[in-house]
Amino acid sequence: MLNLIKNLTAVRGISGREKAISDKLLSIVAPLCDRVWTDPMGSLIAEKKGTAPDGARRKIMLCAHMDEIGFLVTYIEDNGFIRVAPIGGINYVAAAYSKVTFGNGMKGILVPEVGTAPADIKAEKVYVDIGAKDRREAERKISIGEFCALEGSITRLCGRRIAGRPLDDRIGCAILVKIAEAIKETPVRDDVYFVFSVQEEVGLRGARTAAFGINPDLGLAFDVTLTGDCIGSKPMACSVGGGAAIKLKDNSLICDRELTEELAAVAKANDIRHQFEILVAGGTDTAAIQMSGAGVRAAALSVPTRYVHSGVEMLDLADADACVALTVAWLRG
Amino acid sequence: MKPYFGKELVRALCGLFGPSGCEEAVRDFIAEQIEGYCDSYRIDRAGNLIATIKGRGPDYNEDNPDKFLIAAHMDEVGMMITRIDDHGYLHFDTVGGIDPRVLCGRQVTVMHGDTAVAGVIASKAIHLQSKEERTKVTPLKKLYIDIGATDKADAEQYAAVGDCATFHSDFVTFGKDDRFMKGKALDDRCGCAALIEILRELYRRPTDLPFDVCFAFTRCEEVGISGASVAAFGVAPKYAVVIDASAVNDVADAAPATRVATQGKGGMISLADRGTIYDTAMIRFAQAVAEKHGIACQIKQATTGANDAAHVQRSLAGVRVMALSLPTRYIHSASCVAAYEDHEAICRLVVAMLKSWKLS
Repeated sequence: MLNLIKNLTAVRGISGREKAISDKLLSIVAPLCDRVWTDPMGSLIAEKKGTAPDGARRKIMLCAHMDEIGFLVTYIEDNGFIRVAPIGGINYVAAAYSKVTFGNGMKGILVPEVGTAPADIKAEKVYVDIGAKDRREAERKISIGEFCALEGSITRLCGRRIAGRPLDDRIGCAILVKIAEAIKETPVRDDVYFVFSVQEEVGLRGARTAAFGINPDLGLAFDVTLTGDCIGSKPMACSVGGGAAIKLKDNSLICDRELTEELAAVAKANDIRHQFEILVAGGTDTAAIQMSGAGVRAAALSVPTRYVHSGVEMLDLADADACVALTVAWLRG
Repeated sequence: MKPYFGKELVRALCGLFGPSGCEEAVRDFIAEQIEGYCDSYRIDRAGNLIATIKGRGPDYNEDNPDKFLIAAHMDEVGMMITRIDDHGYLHFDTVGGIDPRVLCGRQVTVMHGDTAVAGVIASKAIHLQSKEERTKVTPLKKLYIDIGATDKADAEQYAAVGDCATFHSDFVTFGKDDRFMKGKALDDRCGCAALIEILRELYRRPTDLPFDVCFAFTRCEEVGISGASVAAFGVAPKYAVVIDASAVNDVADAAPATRVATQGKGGMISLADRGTIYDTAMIRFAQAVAEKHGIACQIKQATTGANDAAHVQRSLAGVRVMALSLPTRYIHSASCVAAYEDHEAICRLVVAMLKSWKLS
C-alpha cells in the first residue's frame, strides 16, 4: 500500500487537468479489469465483469476522485511574478511558502505579498515566484492558463501513519486499485465499475456524469474525511487509526441506510476495524452518484485524515487497509 | 419580417423585453430571424428555442449523427414586482444579480400583460439626504418603481404583483467608427445575435459538417435555473460551445493583473470559472483556428463568474464544453458596453472552427 501511495502521489492531477494521473492509473488497472475507457469529462472507468449469469449481476460503482486542488495561472507581472487563481478549496495559510510544480515540470514557490498579515493571505495576495528575472523570462517558461499544485511527497511517521499530499484522494484511488487486485484474484458475482473521477474538488462534477453513463444499482465512494482527534478539533466521533469510517451523512447527502447497515454488519462479521462518520462540513462524490439518473443507492467509506488540503495531510494506512478488506468482504457477500 | 444583420441585429435584440422567465418576445423575434435559414427548429418543454443545421459529407453518420450544441441565453437581468403600496409605488426584487447602485434613478419598463408601462426607480434627491445617507448604498428594500400612479387602486390598473420589469435604455453606438455598443441586455443578446449570424452563414454557404449543429437559445440563465441544462439533455451533444457576455475590468483604475481582458482583442476563451473547467483540446483547437485565420481571441484572465456551460457539461454522461465570451464593461446595468469587433470575431471564430472541426 505504501509504495502504491508513493507512486500515485508522485503524479500531478489538478482538477480539469487529470491526464497524467489518469494515464498512471490506466497502466495499473488495465491488466486487472476487462474493459477500460474514459468518459467525455475525463473520468477513467474500468469494468470487471462478475461471475453470475446475465441478468443476475448487479452493477456496482466504486468511485474515488483522482483530481487534486491546485492553481491556475491568470497573469504574469512585469517583474516575472505569476498570479494564480485557486482551483478547489485552497487553504492559503497552509499553502503559503510552499513549493509548486507546473504541468511542464517547472518549479516555483507560492508566497504571500510581503507584509500581508496571516489572516489576509488569500488569492489576490499571493503569487508564484519561479525565479524569473522579468516577464519575458517568465513567459518563456510558463504561459497563462497553465496549472500548478503544491509538490507531492509522502513522509512515514510512527507505525503505519504517513503524511504528505495529495492523500485527498489518492488514498481512495489506492484503495480502488487494491480492491481490483483482490477481485482479479478471486472474482465476485456482480459487475464492478472502478471509477477514478475528475473534478471532485470543484464540485463533485465528474462522478455525476460517470454515474449517469454507468447507471449503477449501487454506488460506493472512497474519500478522506475529517477527524475530531486534533488539538482544537471540533467534536467529531471519528479518529485516525479508528478503522474504516462508514459514512452516515455529510453536508451533501444522507447515505442509503440499508447499504450502510449492510456494510457495518459485514465489518462486524469479519472483525474489520470500523467506525461511523458524520461529517458536518464538506461533501463527496457520493452525493453526485446518489442523484444521478433516476437516483442510485449510495454510501461511502472514508479514511480519517488530519490537516486535509494542506501539504501534510496525515492518515493511518491501517484505516485504508480496513476499507479494502471491508469492501472486498462485502462484494463477496 | 425583415431580416436584421450586424449591429442592427444586436440593436433589435437588445431592445426586446426579456427578463428571466419572460423570454417570449425575444424567442418570437429569433424564430422569425432564423426562419428559412435552418433545416428545422422547435421549442422544447422548458421553452428553449432549438434550431438545427444538418451535417453532411463523408464523416457524417446519417443514421446516428453526432450533435454539436451552440448555446446562448435569451434572458436578461431585470426586476419582479413583489408589492404595491398604498401610495401606488411598486416594490420589487431583482431577477438575476443587479448591483443596487446601478438601479437608482433609472427608467424601467414594467410589462403588464402585453402593455409596456414606463416607470422610474425612485431615489431620494441629494438635497434631502442626510449626511449618513449620502455615503451609503440605498438597499434594495428601500427602492421602488414610480409609475405615476396616484394610489394603490390606480397603480393596480397598470401593474400587478408578479409583473416583470427591465431597464429602459437606448442602444447607442459610439467611439471611433462607432465601434462600441452601449445598451441593456448585451448579456446575452449579443450571444443570440452571434448564433443567428453563425446559423445563417452555415446555411448560406454549406460545407461538409461531421455533425448536426444545434443552436439553443436558452432561458433563465441569469437566475441559475438554466434552460440550457434541459436543452443539453434533449439534444445530447458530443460537444458544446456556450457564447455569453462576461465582465471585464479594463477600466481606468484597475491593476493590470485584475483587468480580465481587453476590449477589441476578440472573444474571451475561458479556461476555468466558478462553474466549469473547460475542455483543453477544444481550447487549443480554437486558438489554432484563430491563429490560422487571423481572428482575434484572448484568454480570459480570471476565474470569476459562471455560465450555462456548467449545466451543459454535466448533462447526461458528460459533454465536452468550451465558452466564448464577449468582453463587456458595466455588465448587468442599463449601460453595458462592448466592442462590435469582438462580437464579429466570436462569430467568425465559431464558423471557422465548425468548418474545420478536428480535435487532437
